[in-house]
Amino acid sequence: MIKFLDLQKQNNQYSEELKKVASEVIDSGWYLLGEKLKQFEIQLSEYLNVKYSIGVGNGLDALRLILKGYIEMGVMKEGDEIIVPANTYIATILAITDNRLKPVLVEPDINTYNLDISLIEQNITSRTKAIMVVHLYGQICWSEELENTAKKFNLKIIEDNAQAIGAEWKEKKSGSLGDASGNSFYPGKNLGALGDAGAVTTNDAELADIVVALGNYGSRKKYYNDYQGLNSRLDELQAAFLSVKLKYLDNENLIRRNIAQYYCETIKNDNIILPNIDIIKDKSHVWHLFVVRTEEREKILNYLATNNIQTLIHYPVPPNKQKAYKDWAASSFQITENIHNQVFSIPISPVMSTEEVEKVAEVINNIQH
Amino acid sequence: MILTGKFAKLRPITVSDAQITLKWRLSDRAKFMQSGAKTLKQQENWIKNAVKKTNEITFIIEYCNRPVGMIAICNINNNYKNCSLERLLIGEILIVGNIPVAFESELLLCDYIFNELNMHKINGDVMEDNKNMIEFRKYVGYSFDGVLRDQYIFNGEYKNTNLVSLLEEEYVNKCRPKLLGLIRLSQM
Repeated sequence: MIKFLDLQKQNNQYSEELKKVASEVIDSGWYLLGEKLKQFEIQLSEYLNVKYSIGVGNGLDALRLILKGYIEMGVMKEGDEIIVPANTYIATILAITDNRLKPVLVEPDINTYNLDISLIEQNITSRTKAIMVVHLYGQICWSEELENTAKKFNLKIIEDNAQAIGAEWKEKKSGSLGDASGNSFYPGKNLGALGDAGAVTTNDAELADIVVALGNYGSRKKYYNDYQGLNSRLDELQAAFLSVKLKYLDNENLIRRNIAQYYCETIKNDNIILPNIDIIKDKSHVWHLFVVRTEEREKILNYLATNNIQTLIHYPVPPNKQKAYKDWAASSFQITENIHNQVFSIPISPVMSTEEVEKVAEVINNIQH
Repeated sequence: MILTGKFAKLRPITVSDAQITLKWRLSDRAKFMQSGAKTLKQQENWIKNAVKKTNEITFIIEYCNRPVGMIAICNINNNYKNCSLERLLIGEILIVGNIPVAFESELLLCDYIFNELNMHKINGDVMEDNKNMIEFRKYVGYSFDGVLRDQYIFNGEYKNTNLVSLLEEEYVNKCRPKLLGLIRLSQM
């Protein structure tokens, strides 16, 4: 069986180092807001070239806290609008609605699956306060047009960097491009903890200061609460694990790029639409997922399953069709809905063997019309 | 002893590497290497013998803690202060792609040879059909010292091999900067 994601194998690579730092944390007797967190936050800031990194409980909380921080700063208030791609994972939307802000769903570009930047301006109203770009599947969503639009309308750009850590746009890393970024270190991510974890990254000192407090019950001084905050902290164990794994992130991303290149050069099946990107020249994609499109998804997924290849769909239901957002049920986003009906993801990970990668491509090429 | 770079980590080979190294040795990429084991048992025995030798060290090249290739220092001669660099083979080429693991492995090993083993010269030989390796050795500054006629049988034909060498000063002044340049170039 070729697993879609083999977390055991992935963490076994570094098990000696992971066990060593776990022992250090256990022996320290200090499990929250300690030296390991400080160390990871410094390393992450250096890696992304940002001034501030704040470890939080998970990627969703990172986005929630950024928006909550901007509300506390008076940058936005209840009912204000945030432009967001219609085809994102639900966490992006939850972060917005949790803060009683209004997501304005905008169609993606069919070639990148990322927010169609050319459609932003026509969706801006007097209540628009931010654009939340999602670097979906590991590919950066960024352009000069985006920067100019945000500048012209005085909008914040918030990155949902849950899937793209390590990707670069003009030698700047995702997570450092916008006014603030929410990062996820869910175990399956390119930089994955051994549990839930996330971080806010920003160059904005005021926002960083507020987010630190908001993630700790809204408190800067124990038992004194400046804000109605959350309990969302990156614990010492996860911070220590992430410090170990951050060292290997770039090298692992290079393996992902090599596998993606092999897939793009080798998979030749008229029923499958491959990602449209120059993998060698373009460092804007770190291949968290290798997503392809087909009009015969069910048939192909069954064929792959019978050949012992695990696949997943990212994602089967778009946010506007989720029960959680039943008020949007009548809305229609044609490109988004087509994507959700047609995409599936094949295995890509830095621990796949050469034989596994070759088999995935071979089996896909053998699928008959 | 473990040698660690930005991309490559070199560690001594062990018998547990027999399966993967046999796969590499039997692949087309190893066609210019001298013929070796054909079965797992033979490969295990070859490794058992290799690790006992006092005048050679075979390394497994790891990338992200996974084995991707091998390289060896052989014929270590402490009297005359020379040795040979052999068996460079990247087995997992799909995984490694353009990542400069081979260049960095060579750099790590040359540093070790000249700085730790205090050698004066590295020897090598490159079969005449191995055009890419000949070009590479020329580019990084190896001296081509002569030809051994009909030294190997390859595809049923006798083949000449080129004797090459690199002195310490040539390594420091030419080869090392070129290897560093190739590593940098691969990252662009």
